[in-house]
Amino acid sequence: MSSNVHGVKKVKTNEELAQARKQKEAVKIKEYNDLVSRCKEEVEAKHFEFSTLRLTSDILQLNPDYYTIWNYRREILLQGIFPTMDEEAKQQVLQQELEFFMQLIRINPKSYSMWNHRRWCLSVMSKPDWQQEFKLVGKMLDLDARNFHGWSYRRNVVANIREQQLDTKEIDTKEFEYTSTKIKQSFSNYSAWHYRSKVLPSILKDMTDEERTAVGKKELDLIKNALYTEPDDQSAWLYYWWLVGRVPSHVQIVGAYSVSKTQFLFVVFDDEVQLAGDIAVQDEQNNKVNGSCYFQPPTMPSPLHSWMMKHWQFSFSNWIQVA
Amino acid sequence: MATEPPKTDKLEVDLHVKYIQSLNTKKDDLEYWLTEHLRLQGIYWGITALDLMKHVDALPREEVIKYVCDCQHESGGFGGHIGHDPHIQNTLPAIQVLATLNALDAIDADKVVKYVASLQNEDGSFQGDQWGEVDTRFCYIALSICSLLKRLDDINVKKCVEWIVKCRNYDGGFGNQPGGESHSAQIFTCVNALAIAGALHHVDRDLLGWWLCERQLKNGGLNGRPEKLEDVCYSWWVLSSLATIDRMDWINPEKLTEFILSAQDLEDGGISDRPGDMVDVFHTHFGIAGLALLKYDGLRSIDPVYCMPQHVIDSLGLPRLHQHNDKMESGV
Ligand SMILES: [Zn+2]
Repeated sequence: MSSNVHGVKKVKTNEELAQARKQKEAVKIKEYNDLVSRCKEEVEAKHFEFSTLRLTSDILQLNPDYYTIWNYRREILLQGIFPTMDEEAKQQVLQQELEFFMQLIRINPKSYSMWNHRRWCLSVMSKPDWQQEFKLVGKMLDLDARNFHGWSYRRNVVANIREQQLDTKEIDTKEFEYTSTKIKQSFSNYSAWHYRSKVLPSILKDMTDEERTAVGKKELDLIKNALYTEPDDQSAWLYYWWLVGRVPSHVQIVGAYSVSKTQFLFVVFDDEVQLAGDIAVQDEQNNKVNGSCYFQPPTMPSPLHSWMMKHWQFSFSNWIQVA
Repeated sequence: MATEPPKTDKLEVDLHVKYIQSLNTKKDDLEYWLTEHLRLQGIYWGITALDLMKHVDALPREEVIKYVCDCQHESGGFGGHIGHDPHIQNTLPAIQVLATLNALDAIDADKVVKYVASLQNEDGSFQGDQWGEVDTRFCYIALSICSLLKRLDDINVKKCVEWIVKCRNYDGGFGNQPGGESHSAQIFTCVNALAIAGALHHVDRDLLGWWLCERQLKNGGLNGRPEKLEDVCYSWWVLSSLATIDRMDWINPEKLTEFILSAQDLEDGGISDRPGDMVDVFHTHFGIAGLALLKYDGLRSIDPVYCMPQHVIDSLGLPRLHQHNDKMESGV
């Protein structure tokens, strides 16, 4: 949802003020609508030129969420402007697009369309500068440490940097340390804890058992610090729970039944279960029965959970074991 | 500081109906023109809220149907307004409005399904349009459209589920893409996409339920992520996810009801994100939808999976993929 419906205070108004506002708005509305219709005309006439591109700039400055205008912009670049250019000139135009983004982000940092456009620009650049993007996203997260778009973009940038490197250890370590910094700045920075949970596995991947234990101990220290400082905050608790692993509750099979002359076998458990693998079923000759399992959503609220297995053995009267 | 906004403990149905009717008469406001790309979605928010309040006739049915049809492109997709480019995000509300008005035969379902299927990627995810943005929102939208049109076989549901599961996090929630932080709106889309796909067993209900119920703040409102402000639209994203996983009783319904009601504009109608802010049709819809889920007196029930009136889903012959209404059915 566009961000302009959030956090706008309602101000008391009277007839006089409303009238004055209306008059002022009428001018703006006319300007805006003129821009939009001129731009549409140019695009429909396939005038994919710089002058049309400038029209889209004017509109987007007033309304960065207008996705169709962003689409026009890309069409103008792809169909009218790039074909006349060499790589270097193309790169320069795209660099200007990135600067245009920087202008707009000050108006509305939460517009999806804008972020999509930046991603698109980098994807069509022959030499995208990911280090520059890395610096930029760092600055953005300094301004707002929880910005959803910012973190999302950071993942995107890091993925591209990783792709260019044979050894990803350096960037992974850097990212891990980045989350440490962010968490120490604020223990309730949930975004940073989340990101840490995604980076930690790649850090541990090539470690010896001893090294892993050392990292684990340090993680527990960090969590302990966080819990003392912010005991009511869910962030560190959830991270802790994930780190040590949730203890699965003991689930038992209540029963299993097969429907005669069909391929269906039902297995009923006394609690919710997710399957890590196939349900092992054997027939009377101790042969494994193969099939695929489907969760059976209960038709009414029930503490029992049943899974249905469709097997490939047409009829067998007795099954021996379900585990 | 301004005086405290006046308070009420009831839903001002008449005011909200009037507010929704007035939306198309605000051509003197620049905002009307700046939000043109949201017009079709706005119709869905308006029609759904009206239907829940038992006033669906407050908007002219034939005109609405014609408008929706005029937003469709040759490709089968719908734009946000007449002449705007097609996008999957506008295609769902088109189908939802037509379904609610019992007018699905006004469009060529084949074309719509073909458009949706054309947006599915190799890995099972969906992009929003030809420009390639990928998001779990679009998975929900694709599944929802195909389910409403009873054409789930036309897309690869299994692969889509596999991709959604990649977006699951250690807190039980889901992000916008693999690696993305959990966010209530994304959780709504993933949990309900999985419900439509018959794959809710991928959700750790207790873990996710805990995260979701922690979204309720002292003032009764819900936020979208930890440490964020309460906001009426999250009454829907959080609450409906809890309903689908059968954990709605983990939050305090009275306090949430109070919070939503306190965000009403008692002069001009409509509901805002927070008490005292400017209202909009988006928050009006989600506030009323939240109240409907809370079984607020006088409102029709709502289906948490499709975010549409339950009677519409029932009359389409679609199964109830949640356990919510079965438990507390009080009749429409
Ligand atoms: Zn909101």
